[in-house]
Amino acid sequence: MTEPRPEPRLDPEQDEYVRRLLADARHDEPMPADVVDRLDDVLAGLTGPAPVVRDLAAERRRRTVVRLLGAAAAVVVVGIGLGQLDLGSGGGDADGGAAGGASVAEAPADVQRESAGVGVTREPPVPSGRTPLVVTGKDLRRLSAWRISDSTTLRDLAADSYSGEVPPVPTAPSMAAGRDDEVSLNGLEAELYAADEDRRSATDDLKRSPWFTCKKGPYGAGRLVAVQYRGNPAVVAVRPSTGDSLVVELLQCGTATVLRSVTVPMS
Amino acid sequence: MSDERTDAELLQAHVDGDGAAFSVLFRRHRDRLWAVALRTMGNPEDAADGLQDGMIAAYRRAGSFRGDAAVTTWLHRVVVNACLDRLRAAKVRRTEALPDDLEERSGRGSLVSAAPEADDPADVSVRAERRRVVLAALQRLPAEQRAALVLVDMEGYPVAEAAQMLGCAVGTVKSRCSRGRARLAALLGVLAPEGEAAHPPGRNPDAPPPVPASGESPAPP
Repeated sequence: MTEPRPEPRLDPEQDEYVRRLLADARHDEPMPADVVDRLDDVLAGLTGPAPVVRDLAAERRRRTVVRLLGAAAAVVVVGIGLGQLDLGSGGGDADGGAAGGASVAEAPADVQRESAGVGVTREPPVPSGRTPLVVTGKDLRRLSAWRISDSTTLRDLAADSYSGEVPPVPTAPSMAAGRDDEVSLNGLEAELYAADEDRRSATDDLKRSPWFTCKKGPYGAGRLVAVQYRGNPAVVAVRPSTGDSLVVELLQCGTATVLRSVTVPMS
Repeated sequence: MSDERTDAELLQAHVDGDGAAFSVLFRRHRDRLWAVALRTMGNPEDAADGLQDGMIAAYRRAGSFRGDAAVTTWLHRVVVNACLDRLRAAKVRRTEALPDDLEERSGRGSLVSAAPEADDPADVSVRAERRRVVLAALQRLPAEQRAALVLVDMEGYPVAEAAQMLGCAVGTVKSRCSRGRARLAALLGVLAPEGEAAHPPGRNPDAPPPVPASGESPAPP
């Protein structure tokens, strides 16, 4: 076995030279406007009033899942929507050092991925419809501004993250009143509802949907959702919960390379 | 009208229920937090994700701030940890493609020039390219070393404050910085082949000249 080469030591001049290079590479531009808008939207979502949710059937299904699977309800955030994100680190420091909740600190993300069967090869998910379930940056920003627990459809999808079963046909989607953001989000929800109907009636057709060309890949355990991200087919994976939180990942077709990941609290 | 409350007052106001206080506080420091996230994550999209995670965490955990550090230190800590969490969770090395000839040239002297800056557009272009190479090499480092160098060498925080931001000991930060700089030096060709000590351009007579602009003769080192 080859001994690893020891790291070279820098003399003071070299050390200072590298430090100058780094200082010269400091970023001095202000935050880009699109990022400003995005974060303002998220803050508005955190501070604004919560939309009203009326879907008792989904609530009952969720309780059933919790009882059967021993897991709390979770939600799917497609792409990089975060909502009430609660991150954690290995430290679990209450002084804000854990950048989020102690829940993730108790189950570090890499452990979560391991327990989620990362790398397990699976067939790709069945597309949600004949037209692509397109996720754009704007949609994701609006998702992140929502209280994700208010999204009935997303909760339904996430509730089946263990079983992988298609959820039963829900009642009419809940159309929460309030901000303009919700129009776009409910359009997404409506498509997901329609996808369930289509899936039941024309599964074979959907499997051949031309917009979703993902092949078998190491997508790992959990519920898989077919999406289109930046014009390309991609897979959203809702990992099985390892405790008080779960990981949702946006994966590249075929390779399952993680394009985006988010850790959300179980509520 | 600008808000003249201190950072600590704003954070406390937020904890006490002032709906606008956190936004004021975050807006006040967002540019520097963005810079840290950007250099740690390596690209704007991941930086926006990490910064958003950190912002939400700070919003929700403001009540846990004990006042034993500056609010900005605490904010940086939350954001840096959010970025590192993302990097760990993804387990994807955020690499930038190095110039095609980097591997070939790395054994023949430094790829970056220490020539003094000038306003000549050609020099500006050289400087931009140098920054790009440095940033690409920075992304090749382990995340913890990268974060330490971003805070200490790029943002200029004292080691003690960087240690608070990273939630580790001062000695750990020093070690990460030292090892990170050594790795960068190797990647950038500051070191000669086989790890021999070399010196930055200008002192090593065998170093290649800086990248010339448009076929002109290269400036002396």
